[in-house]
Amino acid sequence: MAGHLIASEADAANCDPPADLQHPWPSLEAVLQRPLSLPRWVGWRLKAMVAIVVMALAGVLLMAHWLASQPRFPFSLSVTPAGEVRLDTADYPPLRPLEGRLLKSIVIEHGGSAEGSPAIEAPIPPLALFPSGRWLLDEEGLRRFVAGHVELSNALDQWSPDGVTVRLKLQGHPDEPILIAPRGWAGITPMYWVLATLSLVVASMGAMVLLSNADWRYGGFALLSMTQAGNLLLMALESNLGLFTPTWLLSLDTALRALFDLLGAAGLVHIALLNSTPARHWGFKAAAAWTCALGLWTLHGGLPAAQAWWLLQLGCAGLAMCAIALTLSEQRRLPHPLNLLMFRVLLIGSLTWALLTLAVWLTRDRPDLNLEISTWGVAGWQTFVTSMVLIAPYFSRTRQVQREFMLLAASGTVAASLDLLFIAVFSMGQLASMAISLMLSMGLYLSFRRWLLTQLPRPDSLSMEQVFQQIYRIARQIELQPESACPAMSRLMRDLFDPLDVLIAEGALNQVTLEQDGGLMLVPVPSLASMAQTRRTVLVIKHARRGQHLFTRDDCALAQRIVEQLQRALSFDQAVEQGRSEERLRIAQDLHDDIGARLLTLMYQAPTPEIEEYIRHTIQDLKTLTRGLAAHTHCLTQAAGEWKRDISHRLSVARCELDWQVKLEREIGLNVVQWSALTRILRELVSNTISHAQARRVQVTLSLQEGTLRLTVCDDGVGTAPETWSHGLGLGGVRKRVKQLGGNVRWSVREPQGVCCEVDIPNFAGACPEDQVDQASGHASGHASH
Amino acid sequence: MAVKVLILEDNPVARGFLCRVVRESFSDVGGITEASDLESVRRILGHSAGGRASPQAEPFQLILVDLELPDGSGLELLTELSQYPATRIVTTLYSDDEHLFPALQCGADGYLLKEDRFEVLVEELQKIVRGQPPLSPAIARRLLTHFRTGDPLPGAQPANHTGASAASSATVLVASEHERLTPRESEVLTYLSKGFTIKEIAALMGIKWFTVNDHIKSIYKKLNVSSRAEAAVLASKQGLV
Repeated sequence: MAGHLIASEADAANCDPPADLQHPWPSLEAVLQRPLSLPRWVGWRLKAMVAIVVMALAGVLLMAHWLASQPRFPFSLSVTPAGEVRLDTADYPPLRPLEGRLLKSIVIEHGGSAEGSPAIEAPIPPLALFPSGRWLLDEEGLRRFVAGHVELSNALDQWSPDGVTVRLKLQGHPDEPILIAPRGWAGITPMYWVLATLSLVVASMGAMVLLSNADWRYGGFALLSMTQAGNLLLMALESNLGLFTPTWLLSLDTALRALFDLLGAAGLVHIALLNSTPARHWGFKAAAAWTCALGLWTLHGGLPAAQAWWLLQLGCAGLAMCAIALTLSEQRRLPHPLNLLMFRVLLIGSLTWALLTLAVWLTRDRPDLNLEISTWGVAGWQTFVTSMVLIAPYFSRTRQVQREFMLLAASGTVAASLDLLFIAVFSMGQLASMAISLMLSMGLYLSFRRWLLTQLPRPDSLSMEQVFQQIYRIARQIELQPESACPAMSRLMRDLFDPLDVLIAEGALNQVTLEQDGGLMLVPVPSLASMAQTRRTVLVIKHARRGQHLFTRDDCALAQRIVEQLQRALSFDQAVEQGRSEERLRIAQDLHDDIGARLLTLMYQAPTPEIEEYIRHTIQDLKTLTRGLAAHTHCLTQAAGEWKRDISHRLSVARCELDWQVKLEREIGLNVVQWSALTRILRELVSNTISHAQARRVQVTLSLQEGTLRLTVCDDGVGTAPETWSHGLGLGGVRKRVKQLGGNVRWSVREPQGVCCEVDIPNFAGACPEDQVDQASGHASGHASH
Repeated sequence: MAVKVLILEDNPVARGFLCRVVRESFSDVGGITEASDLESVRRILGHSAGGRASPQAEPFQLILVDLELPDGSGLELLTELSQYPATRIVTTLYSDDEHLFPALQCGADGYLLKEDRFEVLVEELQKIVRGQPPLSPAIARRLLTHFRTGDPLPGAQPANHTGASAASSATVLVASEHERLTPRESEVLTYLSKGFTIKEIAALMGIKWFTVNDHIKSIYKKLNVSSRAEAAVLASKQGLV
């Protein structure tokens, strides 16, 4: 038996599902390094969130209430390039003629002029118009800014909510009495509401992020958003109080804004440390950043104004640079799209910060420009940064929104800078410059939007048609080899999203979900319904487009649709196949039970041994037929094993020796037609030998080489001249079946005696396409049938 | 001592044929009791359906059971006979492992294919009684998977015939606590699954043919030892033993 295909025990049972070949995948929890989705918004979390939002809202309204009771001028002021205060726009028609006049000071007569008490005159220095001391960078300026406010508030200490009449000292115009009344709710500018709402939203966002995932990383984010909210709220207040800012608020405001800026920068470092994966010793580094921020703040309080300001600006920039450097080194260590995103946002933020600082410093001798920049420039920068913070948790939402936002932010920045430019260069009026710049940037936005949307490379590298083809190919493949689902699915996902890595983990998942803020996408692998009890697997796809992008909701929805389609295709095919095989089984069973039993009875009562043998033969054919109907595919080695046993059994009864040799270059699956044809050919040839040849020894060889299946049955019997044999039922059947398989058969005379029959079937392909058999043999010597 | 034989077969012609086979096989046949359905067998053995048959004064030593019977499956009787000290042989027209494997797991000591020739049947019957149970390649392969993985066997599950469903509950339980095969036994099974005869296996492994035979017998024992243990537990729970 030298030539027999001797295989190890491992593949003896190889047509059965390779149960022990399923790789022990790591569990999903192990891959994600944390438990699957936390329960969100349950119990105290939701209550705390609602409480925070309600409290913040109440705070904003209380502040508005307080603002409403504060005094205000019935006109707005601006600074001329020469550094004088000009009356800009008046609220009441009687005051209109005053527009454009230069304002010197305000004279307040205590207790009314009738009693002749001394009037207090409060000069209005141009620096007093600055919204906050935060952006005043020289000692003298800051002193004058504070002094202006102090004098005014001293002068107005008699002010009552009923209003006080003051006289305006104007240049080249007689004094003009006006009434300084409380602002009232109606007087609160839209600016306050816009900034306060933005502040409220940012604060709620920070709280929500922290509450939904209570960990250090989100803590940093929450703190960053709180500092932004604080800055915005202060700006909202300043925009309305103007000259009437109480002195206590002045110092508090300057100190708080410095603190918020520094803390925000330290928060950036904190986030950079924990952004994708925690950096080594992140605790120490983050603590260092926080200490640095607080230390700088303490230090800046004791320094002269100019140095303190530079310390602040440089300190913030330095911390931001640290954050950038940390992000870059993290990206080099472990590429993650979040790092890339963070880097870009940080870079834009820091660059604009540097520009702002430079602009404020360069215009320090031009009070008018300086005022514009430190009011509008700072507000614009703050809004830009805030919206970045706001959108950060939603970066993995639809890519479309992201793109639109980027465009809007870009055109907003362009508009703001154009606005400043027009004012500075052409000395245009506030409104005119704003209108022109808005129009220009809108035009720019619209044209760019069109261009960008058409020019951007399509995110789908696969056409829909290809995806569908792939889905149905995978469905076929999974039916044949359920264990190939994972590799096939991961190939499709690779083609679709071009990810950095695809891991396979064990776990049950109902639908496609995003993890790590869009850094990971989890895709459940569809499986056959019959495999439901086996282990479910999930693909963990890491970072779309080679780690450059986050997964968006669109990607998630696409993957979900693919999984659903695949599952549907699978269950449909399975139902069809099940129906088909049930029907086949029923036919087979009826044939076997009814006709088999009758034939058996007939055989026992056969009058002659020949008839008995004939009926036995018929029963065996019937059994082959019904087994062929009942089974789907057979493995060639298994079938060979059964043929050998059958033949050796029959030959041993006929006192004849069997020499059986099998040489297969590879394992293939036989379909029903091939199996039953080969079974009958062999049986017929052996029967022929047994009944006619009187042979002592029969040699059977079966080989599969270069795709040709060769079967020879040789005996040393008395048969001669096979060409003269009458091809009755038996040999005619052999010819018919060989032809059915696309091969040819010939008989020859052997030396010294005997007859040899050779069957050649070229291009003998298995039941399943070759590539699938090859893939299966990658697992072991398994193949597609059982 | 005369051998008492029980033959359960619904086809009278086949029954007569099997009687001849039995008489030819043994010189000392004491008496052949014939039955055509499960009900009459239970009457003869004195137990009710689902119960356990216990040996009477003069027990049968050889019981031939057909699988397809008018009032049920032969597997039911095999299960009921798990405590009965007789050689139990399945006589059937089915040669596929979907039918034979559950029968072996229900405690059959061997099987005869009814369409085989008279002389072949006589020889096979003698072999089984002497302790040389047959093992077809398909069943050997099945056994390998069964012992290696403890998988529930597919043959026990399909509802395509009445026979297997009766044994399915027992079969699934067996799989969980199967015994392990020795390396020699797996080797023998591997050769058997490839269609080698016992003589050829003996030559390939360099051992005597009766050693191979011993391995096969041991495999048989391991195949249904747990099912018997389980049956005993079941019986004692029901207060039948």
